[in-house]
Amino acid sequence: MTLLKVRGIKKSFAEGEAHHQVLSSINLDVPKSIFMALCGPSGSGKSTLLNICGLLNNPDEGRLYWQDKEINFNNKKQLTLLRRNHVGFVFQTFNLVPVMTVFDNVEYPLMLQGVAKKERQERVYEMLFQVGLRGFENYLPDRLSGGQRQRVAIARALVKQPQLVIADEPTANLDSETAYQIIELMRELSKKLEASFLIATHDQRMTPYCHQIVNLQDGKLHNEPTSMQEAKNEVAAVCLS
Amino acid sequence: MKWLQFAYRNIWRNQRRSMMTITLTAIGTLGILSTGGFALFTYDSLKEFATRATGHIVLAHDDYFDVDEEMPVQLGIENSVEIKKALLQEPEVKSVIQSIEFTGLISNGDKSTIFMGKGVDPEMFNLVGPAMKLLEGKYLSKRIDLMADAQVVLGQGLAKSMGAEVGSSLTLLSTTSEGALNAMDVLVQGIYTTGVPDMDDRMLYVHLPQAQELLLTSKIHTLSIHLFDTHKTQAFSEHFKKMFTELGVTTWRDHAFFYTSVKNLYNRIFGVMGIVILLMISFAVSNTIAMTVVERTREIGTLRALGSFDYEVSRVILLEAAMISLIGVLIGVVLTGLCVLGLTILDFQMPPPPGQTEGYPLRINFSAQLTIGVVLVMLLLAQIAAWIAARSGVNKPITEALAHV
Repeated sequence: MTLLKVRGIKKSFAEGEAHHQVLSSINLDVPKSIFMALCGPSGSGKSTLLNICGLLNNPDEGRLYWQDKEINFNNKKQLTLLRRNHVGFVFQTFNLVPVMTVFDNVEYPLMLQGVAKKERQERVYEMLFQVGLRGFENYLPDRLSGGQRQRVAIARALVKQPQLVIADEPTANLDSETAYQIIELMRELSKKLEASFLIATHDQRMTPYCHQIVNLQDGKLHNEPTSMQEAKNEVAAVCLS
Repeated sequence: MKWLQFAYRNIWRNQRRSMMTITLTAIGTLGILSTGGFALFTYDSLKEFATRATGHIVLAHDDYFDVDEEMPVQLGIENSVEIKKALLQEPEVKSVIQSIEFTGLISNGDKSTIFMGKGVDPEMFNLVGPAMKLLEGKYLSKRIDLMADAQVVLGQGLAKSMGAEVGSSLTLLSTTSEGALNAMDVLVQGIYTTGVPDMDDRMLYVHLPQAQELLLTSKIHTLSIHLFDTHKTQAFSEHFKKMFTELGVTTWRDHAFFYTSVKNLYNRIFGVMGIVILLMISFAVSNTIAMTVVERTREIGTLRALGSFDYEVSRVILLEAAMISLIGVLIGVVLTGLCVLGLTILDFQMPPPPGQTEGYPLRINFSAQLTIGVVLVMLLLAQIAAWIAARSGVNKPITEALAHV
């Protein structure tokens, strides 16, 4: 079943008096439990498409279907509730709340959902264990390394067990070793939690891990077949081992 | 609880700015509460003066306060003794003072000058309190010695003008109720001051029966009723209106012109000052929150991306504003309390107001009602200011907020 369908999405931005077309008639299907990369050079429209898929921005034209139901971009409440309950976000700059401890940051989405305190605690501890940050609960983000912060961000995105995780350049601010660890972590958790990951990246290290790579150039999509991707995965796995 | 915790931690992200806002709010609260407390002290003092001087309720002839008398005591009350007895039956009535007003000439044999006299029941001097200060001698004695000269208590200026001191003999000359002239020898019993030179230069007091004897009348002008509780003035005024339908019943407010004009003046001055202070604090809080919102634009965007409704993000910001203003206001209240205590202990004296010779103590009344009112208004204004400032951040498109540097 397709989790998210993108049909005929167009988006342009005004630059002075001129209009810059960022996305032109994009069609994309995001199936359940997929690890999908959205690749392309800077300015190709990756982040814009990701923001639309993550319900953070509305398209100028076209439609979006969440589990075959059309999303009404004028209904702010519906968008907020979808994000709250079904979409997780991992940002390039981590975007952790500095006054919240690691525990608080991860707990926040569950607080929004109104999950009971005891269950919240259990789920947060479990998630922190999964990302390898048990023992860091009471740390403030500024005491953590970049990799650890991104792990917290991943824990925050996944603690509510979303169906879709939007990750915008999650490894861009990390060194190679940490980047690999983060990629592996996301891949592992995606599989474990059956969450779809839609990752904007131009990090080539990411591509071997993806089920599907979608190339975006000048606002248009060029999809690679999944079988090729599987082949890449195998190569990468051998290299890594 | 968690939200409060986040708000509290957020306050200390920019300590200097938060401290400035808290300090400003505390000073503003101190300013409003101390000026308001000073005004309340002044009102209470003037009210006390007015009620002691005129009584809480004044009974007189229906036209006495509106029409000028053609002949002395023309608009007097005949059966005042019976009325006084009836009034004293009322459990809330503390005292009833009869009085008669008259004018004439006072002479020491060499020199004469005009006076304004008042014949009163001597217990008036027990009630008048600090509105009248005895400088020399005594007030009128409780019992009249029929064998001796009539007693008189003179204002300081009048005594000086007559060259009189305690024990001096003077003569009062006045027009009787029938229009003839009558004179009476009086002995100076005491010299007083009210602190108002115009009054001290003219006023004198004699026993009521002797004033009646001088004016050849059995009438009086007014009955001043002193109640145990000032708050019951209005209720008893209505009661006495029904009880004495043929008389005019007025309250102390109708005669307290100084109290009314000072209150009107102070209300305007302190009212404008209060509004200025409140606006200042609103701007300070608004500025702090606006800067906070700008600095945290990306964070606000993140919280909204995670699925927070706008009101949930605003709630944290409003909690911060509430905490900042509450801390500031509470410090301000404590500072006001210390000022009240300090002024009571140190006993600062204010210089005499225009037209008076006596200063008065600088005091601040600590009113729970005023304090609660100020605290609530301050918190409400801070919330409104914060809400306005927070709106801009919360209404920004999420993608724009996330891209904010």
